Amino acid sequence: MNRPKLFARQSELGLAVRLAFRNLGRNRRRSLITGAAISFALFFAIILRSLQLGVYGHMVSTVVGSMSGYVQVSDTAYWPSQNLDYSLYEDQQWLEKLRQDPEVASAYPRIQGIGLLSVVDRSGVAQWIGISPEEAQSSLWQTRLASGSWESGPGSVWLGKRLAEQLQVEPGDSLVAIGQGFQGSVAGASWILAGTLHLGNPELEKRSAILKLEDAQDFSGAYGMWSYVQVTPQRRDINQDPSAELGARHPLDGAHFLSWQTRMPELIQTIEADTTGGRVILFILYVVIGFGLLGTMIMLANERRREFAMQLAMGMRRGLLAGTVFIEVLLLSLAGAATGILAGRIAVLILERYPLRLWGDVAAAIEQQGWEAILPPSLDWSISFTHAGIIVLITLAAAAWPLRTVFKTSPVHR
Amino acid sequence: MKNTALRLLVLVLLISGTKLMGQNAGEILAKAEKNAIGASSYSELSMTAKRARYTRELELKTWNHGNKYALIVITGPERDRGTRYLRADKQMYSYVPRSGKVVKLPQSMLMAGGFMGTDASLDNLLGQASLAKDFSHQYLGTETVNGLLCHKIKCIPKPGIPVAADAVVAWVHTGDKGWVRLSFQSNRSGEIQRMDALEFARMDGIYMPVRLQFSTLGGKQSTLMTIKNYKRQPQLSPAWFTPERLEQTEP
Repeated sequence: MNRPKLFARQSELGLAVRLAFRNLGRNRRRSLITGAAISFALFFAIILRSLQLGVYGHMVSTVVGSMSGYVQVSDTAYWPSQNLDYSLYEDQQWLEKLRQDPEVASAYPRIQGIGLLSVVDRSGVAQWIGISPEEAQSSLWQTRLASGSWESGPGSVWLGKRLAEQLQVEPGDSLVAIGQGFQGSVAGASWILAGTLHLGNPELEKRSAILKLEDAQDFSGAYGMWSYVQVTPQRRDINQDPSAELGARHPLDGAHFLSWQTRMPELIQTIEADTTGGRVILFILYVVIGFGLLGTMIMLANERRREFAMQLAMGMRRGLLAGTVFIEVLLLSLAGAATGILAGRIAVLILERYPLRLWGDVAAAIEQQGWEAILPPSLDWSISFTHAGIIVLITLAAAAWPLRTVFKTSPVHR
Repeated sequence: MKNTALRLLVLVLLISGTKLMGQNAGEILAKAEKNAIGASSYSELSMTAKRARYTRELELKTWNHGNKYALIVITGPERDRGTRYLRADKQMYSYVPRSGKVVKLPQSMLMAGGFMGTDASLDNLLGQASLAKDFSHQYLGTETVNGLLCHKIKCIPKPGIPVAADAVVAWVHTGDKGWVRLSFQSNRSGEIQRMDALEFARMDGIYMPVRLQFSTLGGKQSTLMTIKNYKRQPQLSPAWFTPERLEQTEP
């Protein structure tokens, strides 16, 4: 005896699909409830995961992307003290070659240190950063201007919005800066405020002072020196680290390439700890939904026990009947997944346009950690498809119950 | 009966012994500090900070009244010439020659960490709190330091005394040279900084250390300070140390 095939002839598949469609239509309420359960589960999973991954992206791009850089090229002694004394000698030829690398989106030399800014009797400690003219021209800085202008003569300074508020200065006002310069010299200068900056991170806005590279070198006495070169690679995913590759292709004497993952292990740890928490919540969601679906399937199987027996008695092969039920569930889960993805996508797009904003103590705590208290979602399609796949698989696993019923039902009612 | 008398004698000896030691430690420190604390003076110093990558030379002039009032003017190197600092009790000011302005400093800024890229702190230059008056003492015996026989005394700041260290161990010469080594210690990280007096001389009638070494990071970094000139200035009073004086005193 041959092993029974699921569909003996090609036309039987067509028959099964047709029957499945009709069966779905026969009990619309049941189909709708099952489909809705699937799409709701998917909808919530997508929103949850998009927000979570989006927040990581937000953290990384504000804390890393704009200020300290995805990859830093610095003297091997520069980290972790970030001491001005461990600066690099300028090397324009090397910089040009690095910029021409197709893997490199941008590379900007900077010099930075700590200083005290003072206006009359108000003062504040600031991290001053000298940026190159090319970097000042980049859209990143151009779009951050809160007031004033980027077109300005030598001796200009741009302050983080909150630092300017704290010092009560407006563009055109002058400030005195002092600090420790290169190799123990005294750094002292008088600067004119050219503009204030919106940096997307309250901590940075409270302590950043941006200068032109030449002014910063003159202020600190580190003539012809760079603290580091900030490199933005083309690939910027959280789990990408192109620093070793780039370092091998563009060696610089006494310097090394450090990725943000190496420089800020605490950020990676925060993300990893948090993502595990998120996975646990998703797992619970899926278990709940999974049992819900299983319940629906058991109900479906019991309701249709007579129908199955009747069809078997009339000579329908069990394989064909099982195939029909399987296709029913498959169609149902695909439809649920499709509406779930659609709804999730719409919600994510709305959240991207109008991001959730935290308030109160939570917001204060998050701002203290260094980023704006908003929850922008990730727009990555892979989130939708991964979770659609998971929920379809769960539904198909739950379909094992009605299939078992098909094979156990006797055509003769005893 | 005899036994009891003996015990009593031992007890009395023990009590008087510790008391004697305690008094001794305080007296030793008071004697060592007799000339240094509370004096008004003018001095010219040079400092050399040795670092892994560079050596930095610094020349300065200072005026002080006790350890709460001081004016420091940098006379070299050329790039830093004219930079000045003023401490008037709890106020700190700096004059930045490139801006021509006097800036008020938060007190923490220069008190903490090295002064001008050296291993000495501003407190070291101005004289810290009095070891004899502001600290309680524990006598730890004698030790030879830098070739001189010294009393070793552990000093713990009395409550309310603003000192960066949790304890200061002082080695004071058994003769009349004063302190030979001071070790500033923190409970958490051990020795923070060490001061060594390497050479002594009589200046304007006062016997004092004229070559000092400051070391930090367990001796990995050090700064040598030489006192080139020292004059007593008894006429200086707190009223002399004003921001106007800071602005007007040329290097």
